[in-house]
Amino acid sequence: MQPDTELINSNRKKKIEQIVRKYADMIFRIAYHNLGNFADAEDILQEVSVAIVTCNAPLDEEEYLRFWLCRVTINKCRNFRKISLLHSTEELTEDIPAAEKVTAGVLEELQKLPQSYRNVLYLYYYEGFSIEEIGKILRKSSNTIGSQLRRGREKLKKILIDGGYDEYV
Amino acid sequence: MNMFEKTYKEFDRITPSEKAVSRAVQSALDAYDLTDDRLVCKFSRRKIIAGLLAACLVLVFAATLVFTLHSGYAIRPYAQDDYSFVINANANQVESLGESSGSTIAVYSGILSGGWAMYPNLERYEDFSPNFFQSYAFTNFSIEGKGIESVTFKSNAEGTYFALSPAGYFIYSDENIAEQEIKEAKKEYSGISLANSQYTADELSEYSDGLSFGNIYCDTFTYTNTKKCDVINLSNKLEFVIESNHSNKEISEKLDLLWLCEQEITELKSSHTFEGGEMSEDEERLYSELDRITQEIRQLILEDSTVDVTVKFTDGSVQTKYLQMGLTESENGELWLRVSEE
Repeated sequence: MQPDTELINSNRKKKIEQIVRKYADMIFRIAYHNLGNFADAEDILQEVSVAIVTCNAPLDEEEYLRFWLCRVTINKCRNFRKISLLHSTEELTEDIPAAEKVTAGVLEELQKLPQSYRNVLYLYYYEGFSIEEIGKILRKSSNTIGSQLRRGREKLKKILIDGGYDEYV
Repeated sequence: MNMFEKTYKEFDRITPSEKAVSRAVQSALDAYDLTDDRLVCKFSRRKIIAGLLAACLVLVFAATLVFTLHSGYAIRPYAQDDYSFVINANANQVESLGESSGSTIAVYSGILSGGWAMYPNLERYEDFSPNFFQSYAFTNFSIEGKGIESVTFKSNAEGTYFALSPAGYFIYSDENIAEQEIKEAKKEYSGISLANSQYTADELSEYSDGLSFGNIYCDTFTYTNTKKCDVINLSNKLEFVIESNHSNKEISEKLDLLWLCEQEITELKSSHTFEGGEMSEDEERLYSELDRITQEIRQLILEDSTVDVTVKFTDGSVQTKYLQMGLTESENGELWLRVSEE
């Protein structure tokens, strides 16, 4: 392999590592919000990291990359959910790993939100995307996103009140 | 900070472990290394091992067949009563619709998908509302029975289709699925037609904006049971799509109302911005109106809508059952399915 090719590959690999590390939190959070547990979220993180390489992620377009990563993560979660619905699950016991116990509380209540509202609310309130940007990520019209945002907020408010999270309301 | 921002701020606590991140980085770098020339040698070795395994399996199968045929072991042919089938769908999530239990086999929410707009003729629809698609993912959807040779689905209502994913999972434009893999998977499907649509399959693929899932759109298809399964699981391979279009006068008028409603919302939004995503009363009213009209359109399309499910058995006999569909009155407009013998 020629020296300049080695240099190119080395730089490329550094870039990939930087991107994975930079966006790991975001990918993990989206996955957790969709799937509800750390283990599955870690699997999705790994899958999306591989997809960055195998699906020709737009590494040199930073702004578009963020959109791309959100979309791919949500799509991977969607497929993951479909596959896991086919398998039986065991009931949770009290022996929940220490890391998962951190997520108890209001985040557990968010799992009660219908799937389609979760991503819209998360992208809007945590990642700070505009309605138009969320429309581009989820490939829906802005008005559909607006409608889902409105309904999602109503549902979330009800969930928080019913769950006794008055301090949030 | 409003309550939504406060709630979502809790996600600051959700972070992957350093071990998980390092593992993800390593996976990405390993995938990158596999894209160079070393990949060729590894595949060659894999091909040899796969070939040897296949040869062993063929030998075992042949030996079993010879033993079965010559040992006097009797294989009972299927009795006439065995040739029947059931349709299973999402049984765990059936909710009561105020009717006798057992009649509804599934209730699906359109929550796994949303609406997409499509402009088949940009000039014609410049000032009018687009055609609109909504899809429902069929989870836990299967056909069960002995001796099934093939199953044919036929959607009778105009504006209702199936979206098929031959690869076994829905493919999005960001996914990189091998051409050969798709070709192989498509062999399971045959006799595909799109008679109820104003679009060709190519148009649906070409003009769709956001309709990026699935590989085949059709209102009729036959799935061949090449694997000879007693349970044909279509959960990851099938979605049901409802299209609102202008070919029906009543729906067309409602689509135009929907369009006007959306235009008003867009104008309101452009005239101000809100803190924390709050909406004005006018905006709230318009969104409610949007939901109401959308629900009415879908109800119209699904009124008396059925899907014929015809199973052909290995003895040549044929049986048909009918899936009735409708929408619940709830805000989300959940799709319910019932099986009928006639």
